[in-house]
Amino acid sequence: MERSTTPLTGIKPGGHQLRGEVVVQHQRRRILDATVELVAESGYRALTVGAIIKRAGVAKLKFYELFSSKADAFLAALDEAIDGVGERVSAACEAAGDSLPERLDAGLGAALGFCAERPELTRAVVLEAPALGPEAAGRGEAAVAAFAPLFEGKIGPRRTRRPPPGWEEGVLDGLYWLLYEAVLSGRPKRLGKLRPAMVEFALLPLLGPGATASA
Amino acid sequence: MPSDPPGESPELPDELARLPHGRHGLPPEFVERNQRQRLLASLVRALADSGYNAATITGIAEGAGVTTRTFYKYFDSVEACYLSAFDTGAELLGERLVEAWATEEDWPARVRSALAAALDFFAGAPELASLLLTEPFVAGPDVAARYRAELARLVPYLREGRVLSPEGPSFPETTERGLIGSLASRIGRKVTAGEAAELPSLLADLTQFTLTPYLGVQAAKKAAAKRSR
Repeated sequence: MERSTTPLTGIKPGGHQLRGEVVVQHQRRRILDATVELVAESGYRALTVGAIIKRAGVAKLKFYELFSSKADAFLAALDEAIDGVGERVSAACEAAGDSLPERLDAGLGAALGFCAERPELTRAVVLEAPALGPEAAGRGEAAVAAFAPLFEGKIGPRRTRRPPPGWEEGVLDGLYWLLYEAVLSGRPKRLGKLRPAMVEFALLPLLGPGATASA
Repeated sequence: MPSDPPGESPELPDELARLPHGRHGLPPEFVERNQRQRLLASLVRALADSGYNAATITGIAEGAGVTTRTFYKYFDSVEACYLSAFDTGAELLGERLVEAWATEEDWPARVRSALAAALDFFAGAPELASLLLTEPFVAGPDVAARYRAELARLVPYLREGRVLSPEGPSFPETTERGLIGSLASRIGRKVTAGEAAELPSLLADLTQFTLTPYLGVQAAKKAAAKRSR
């Protein structure tokens, strides 16, 4: 660590302010990455601030300038993941137009793609976020909102049937469980194969025999 | 899990005497009797009070009125104690489900009946509900794997419904796992929100959701609304 830094910015006196912000952003990034790696490796409960700063190569003081606790750091990584997947899902759904099956296919493909690109983040978030317990309050709603664009399409001109009550919530829970199982199995390649099954799972309640008969 | 032989008396009867009695909602398997069951009951209370992360061997032993040494006679970690409680709870729930399933003949009615039994079970024992449905995720991947295996045991029952749909044979392999996972998540969320008592009111919606892929929207709605005999 540098010797003559000010406690607040970690930048040498007289250093350019912009550069200071860049450095802080960089340190924040390193802390978040280290947190995710460590959680993916050995779980949230085993996580310590000491391990984070060691892995990230930042001073303890610096850590506490940016985060109040290990939970705070993991929550920041969690929020970033939810935002990241939400942006991808939303962009893919928008590009897919307003057909529900196409939105589901594109949006779920985007979500699974995000997970496949970042296996550590996925493992950390999917398997270990629940360990945050009540501290993760509100993140469930944020995650649901991130996937909302999936359901904003039309079923099709001939099938105007309204979905059963609680359909979106139930489908999303089911989809998330399938993702959870795949991540738990520790075989990330499974994720890619999930896409068609997920799309069909979401559509089954709408395209089932009753729907076709009375649409 | 081998059950304790009846009459297996704890070595410390004076401690047994200090045991709090009749904890509301907990099935007999989690009430005193012997040290092992008292430890399980104490764990369930500890989880309900402050969650898995805060549970300690000392706390669990204290709550059971035994020493930590006694704890180690039965379990070597909080996780082992938890898993034992989980298995006991899952077995109990499984018995109720099988019983409820057998009271009906038609598959849709069986699904409804089993769901009703599950909702009543969780509503009557919210502490056990969070032990079974939400704490496994807090407790980490090993315990979550056990949870996953328990859910998988329900798959064949649901899969029977495929014969009722012309598209049944081509449903994705994962359909039943997704449905069951979805039900468990929704019930678990209610429990976490402290609304376990309201669970039975979800029966019609959850039944309809579960049956719809097999029966279609209308028939599922009808079957979900049907009163059991």
